[in-house]
Amino acid sequence: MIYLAYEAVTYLVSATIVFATPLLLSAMGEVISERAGIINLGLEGIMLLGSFVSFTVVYFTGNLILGLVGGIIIGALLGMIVAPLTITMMQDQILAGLGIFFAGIGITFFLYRAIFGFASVQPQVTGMTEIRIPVLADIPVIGDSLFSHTALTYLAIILIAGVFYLFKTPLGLRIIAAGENPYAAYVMGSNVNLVRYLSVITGSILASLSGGFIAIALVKIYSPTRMISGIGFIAIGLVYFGKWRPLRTALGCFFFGAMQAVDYYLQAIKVPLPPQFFNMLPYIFIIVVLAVASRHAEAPEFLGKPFKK
Amino acid sequence: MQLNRFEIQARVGVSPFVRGITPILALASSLAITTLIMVYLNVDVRAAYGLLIYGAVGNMTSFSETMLKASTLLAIAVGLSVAFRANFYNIGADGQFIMGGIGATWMALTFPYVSPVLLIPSMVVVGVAFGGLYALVPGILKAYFNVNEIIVTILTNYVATYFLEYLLYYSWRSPGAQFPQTDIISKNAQLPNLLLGTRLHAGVILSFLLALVFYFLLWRTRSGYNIRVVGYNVRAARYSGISIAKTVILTSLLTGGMSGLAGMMEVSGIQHFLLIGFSGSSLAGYGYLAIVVALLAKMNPLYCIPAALGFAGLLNGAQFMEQGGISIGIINFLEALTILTLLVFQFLVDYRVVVR
Amino acid sequence: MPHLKVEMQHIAKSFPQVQALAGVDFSLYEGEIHALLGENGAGKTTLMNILSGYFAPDEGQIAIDGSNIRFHSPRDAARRGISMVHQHFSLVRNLRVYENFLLSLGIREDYAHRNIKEEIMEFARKFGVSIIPEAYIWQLSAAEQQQIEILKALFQHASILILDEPTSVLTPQQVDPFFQTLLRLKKEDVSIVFISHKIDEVKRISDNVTVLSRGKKVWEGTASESKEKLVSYMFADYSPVSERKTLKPILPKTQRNNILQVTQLGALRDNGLPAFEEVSFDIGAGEILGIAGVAGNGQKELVESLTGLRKVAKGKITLQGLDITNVPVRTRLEKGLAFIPEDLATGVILDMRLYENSVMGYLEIGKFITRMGQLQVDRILSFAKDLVEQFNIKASSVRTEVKTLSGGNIQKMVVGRELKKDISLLIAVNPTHGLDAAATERIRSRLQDVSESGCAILLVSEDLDEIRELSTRIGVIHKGKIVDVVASDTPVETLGYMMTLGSKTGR
Repeated sequence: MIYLAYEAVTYLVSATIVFATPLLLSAMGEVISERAGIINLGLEGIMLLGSFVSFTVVYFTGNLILGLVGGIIIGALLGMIVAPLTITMMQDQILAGLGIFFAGIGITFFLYRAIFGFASVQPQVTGMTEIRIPVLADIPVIGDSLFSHTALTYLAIILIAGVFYLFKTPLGLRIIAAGENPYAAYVMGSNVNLVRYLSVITGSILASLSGGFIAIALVKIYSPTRMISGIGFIAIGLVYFGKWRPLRTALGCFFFGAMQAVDYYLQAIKVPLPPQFFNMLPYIFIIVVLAVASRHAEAPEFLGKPFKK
Repeated sequence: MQLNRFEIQARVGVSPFVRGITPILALASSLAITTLIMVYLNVDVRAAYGLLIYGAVGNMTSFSETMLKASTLLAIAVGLSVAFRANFYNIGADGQFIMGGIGATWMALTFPYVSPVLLIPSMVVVGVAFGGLYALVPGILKAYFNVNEIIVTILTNYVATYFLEYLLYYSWRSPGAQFPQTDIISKNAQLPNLLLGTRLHAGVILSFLLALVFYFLLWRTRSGYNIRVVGYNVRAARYSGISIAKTVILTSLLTGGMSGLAGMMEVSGIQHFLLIGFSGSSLAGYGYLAIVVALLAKMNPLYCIPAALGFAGLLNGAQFMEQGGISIGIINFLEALTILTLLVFQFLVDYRVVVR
Repeated sequence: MPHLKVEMQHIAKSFPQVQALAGVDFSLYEGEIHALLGENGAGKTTLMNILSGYFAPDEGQIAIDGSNIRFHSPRDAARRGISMVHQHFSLVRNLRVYENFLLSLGIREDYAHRNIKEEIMEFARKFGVSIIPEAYIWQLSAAEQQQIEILKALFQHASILILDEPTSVLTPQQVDPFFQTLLRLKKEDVSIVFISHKIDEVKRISDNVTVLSRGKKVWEGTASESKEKLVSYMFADYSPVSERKTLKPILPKTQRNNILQVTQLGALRDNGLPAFEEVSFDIGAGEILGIAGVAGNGQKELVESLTGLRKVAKGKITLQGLDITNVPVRTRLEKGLAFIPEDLATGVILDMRLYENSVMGYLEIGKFITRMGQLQVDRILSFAKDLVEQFNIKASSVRTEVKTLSGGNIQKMVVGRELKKDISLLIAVNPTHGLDAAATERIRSRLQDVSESGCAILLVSEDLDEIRELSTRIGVIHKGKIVDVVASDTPVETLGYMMTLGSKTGR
């Protein structure tokens, strides 16, 4: 019994962190973007493309670093489509985001077929391996689950602190101002458009890395349809839940990661419920969470609104 | 970037004609770009377009298929026009479509021997109800809980897809079938055929009629007026005594209902049974495509008719092309390109760039 | 010989639909207080927006300290020592005072080693002002926010300070100390541009005056020019204005036919704190009750409670005998309530057509819809045509979109639309805000007409002159309470005390 409990705990802790990672990466990026006033609905599409590019690069070169670089580049490129449309051209952010979403789906699928064809066995890679932190990972029971993760997971955790401290720096202040009152920020000498560009592109890069993580660290088998399945949108939902604050959003990511971990665990120990039930649970959970948390939303004033001089 | 040499100014006196042709320009340029890419990939462009056009309207079958797809897209897009005008960004049309189909199938499987005169209208009602009620969830959440409907509607899409899967693998699984699907619904439950030799069904007429009805609704009724006011300016709506919550609820019911209706028609008129991916698969689902149609139609139910026809032709043609070896991802790519180029053209029409 | 600090020549700027400035020259000497005088819409703010780097001019040159410059953003101007205190928009409400200071300091300034909060408090103390650096901007009153803005500008070593209608957020009592501050700055060689449409203040504080009218410079000279002459310069392009009507006598309470009765009313702000409490007053038929008060003392929330846009926490509102406390907006409209909101954005839908806007809130009451909910477009069109004629609204057709109309015409439409209704109570908030003199006149006489026909009017305005001119009685609101309801010929000083201190005397 105790052994089972031990198994469960180690698994759950570890899985929570692993599942939370892509959410953290995407959500932290989106926090920056939305604080600056731009909602990026294309996250899902960026994650898809990011996952595909990273995977393909690793598949053909065997080089993980290169895979990540590929992810960064594609993220930046996609960000450089969203940004001009929403910032310089002042077009509707939701529509632009949807456009990127569809583009992500289309291009990913197209390239997948083009490169991997109709293979009956899905391509896979060895992917990233965990890096153990020496002393800490040796702590009994939870040491291994907490301190033995892939580099991207460590990055995600550091990112939480990073974003938190970002908002205390001059640049962070400008990001907040760009989302709260871009006109005032502009009058005070801030280059609002530049700040917004940087925020959006950063968010895109992080989302792309998030997709890359799923492909080369989490799942390692590539499947164009089943891999991302709404994680991008869930990340946006978590930003709303987190009230645009990095710590609170991170909490939401961990909650969700835990939910997914429990989900898989229950399936693994063969709880007698149809698999679709488990599949639906995370989404319903987010909807409920949003219902509760959105009552007194304190969104950045100018979120979603273009800055017209 | 605030490139200090450039200043962006709003244009004055843009004619409505120029504004009106931006969708056409967008569609044309996205086709052009796609063509260029095909050329670059050494695809035989002439053959590709030949396949496209043949697939769209080449023969009676193609033509009727185009009409069918158009009618599905039209029904959903008309509902979306209403929704978007109220600022209710319904991205969940796919999920509502699925629920509508589920509802209609349930009716058909439960009452297979009832006379079609009774059965089919009730299937319509149930399909609409399922879709409408499913959309009511994001509707209520938006109206009373201040929840962003975009996220919720997308999430409900996934939930609906899994629910459908569950039904098809378990409760409603047809014993003899190779893939997970329901039994074929009885003849009584099938929409009457309009043209022998094709799959054209009576629902097509309904779609076109509803486009007219919704046009009338938006501009000639109080509800439509309220919907438009709420969409333009919430504060002004409140100031003039309009109940925002009621308007949002009504909108969600209308758009969900239309998507549900489309789902019902797909099951009853085309497929005759429920199957996975009957909304066109999440990659190129009707619910998502209809968004583009509504956008191109500038959210006007009447313009949705030509937009839906055009897009349906493209879809059919693209499927035909796939048989000729070109990937299905093209559709999504075209979808994306259309939205993005539309945004660019809207910018070009509304603003000009001045060099200082 | 005083040093020519700023020289603007042949400045022209146009926006869609409007030529804001044409061939305007403007010069500013070091250490002078130069007033930019003109009516609303004359172009004063636009000209200074150009000087402070917010816009680039279509034509013309700007020279600072003798050298020609070109500003591409407010940051460029700030580097040259030019700072503008706008009427709105310039502080980030959800950030704290010291954070707003940090924002304006520039991203490369290394202030990590500086104790910014201390520095700011010290700096403010030098001007006799005490501030709390950790306070959020939304916690401050409008006058305090303006103080912060000015301090911020000076903190950045502004040598040219542009103030846009700075006294609009001040009570009569606060104006003097404010002017003292300006004179102090003048002594330190700060050049000040003072934008205003108030001639008395201009004459009091400025050295020189430039008058703009409809985008052109009409006159420039010293502030010793006579008031009459200045007025004539300001209105050089305007047609003569109609005679003002005389004030009506106030009926004693018993004789009044009370249309609106407000008893012990209280409501909360969005942040949960009380906006106003224990408010009681009546308005009878034919009366205009003006609510005077510095912005932010609860008027906005009071109006919202009366119109139904805000829930009432305590008390009662009775309209024509019917209890309308917390009743939906619809019901109030049906009972004859009409409302002119303070900003066009609330009362009008720019993208909809004129005829559709003309019946906002009036569809059922005016019987423009059938039982089934269908709109009777013909009736609406003729109603709209009537409206356009009666109120002299310049529009090419009732089918055009409202956004093509000028601000003044839109305001006329909103006012006219409300006045055309069968109303018992009209609530008007800043009805002539931003309009030129002719339109203002027309609207004010219309209000008086409507009042005479038996309607009760609640007038809330930031323009104290307007209140004094139009009201039969004046209620002064201060920190959420009605100090008192007094006669309209009460001296301005008394009103000022009531607005700032909450009592009729200086104590």
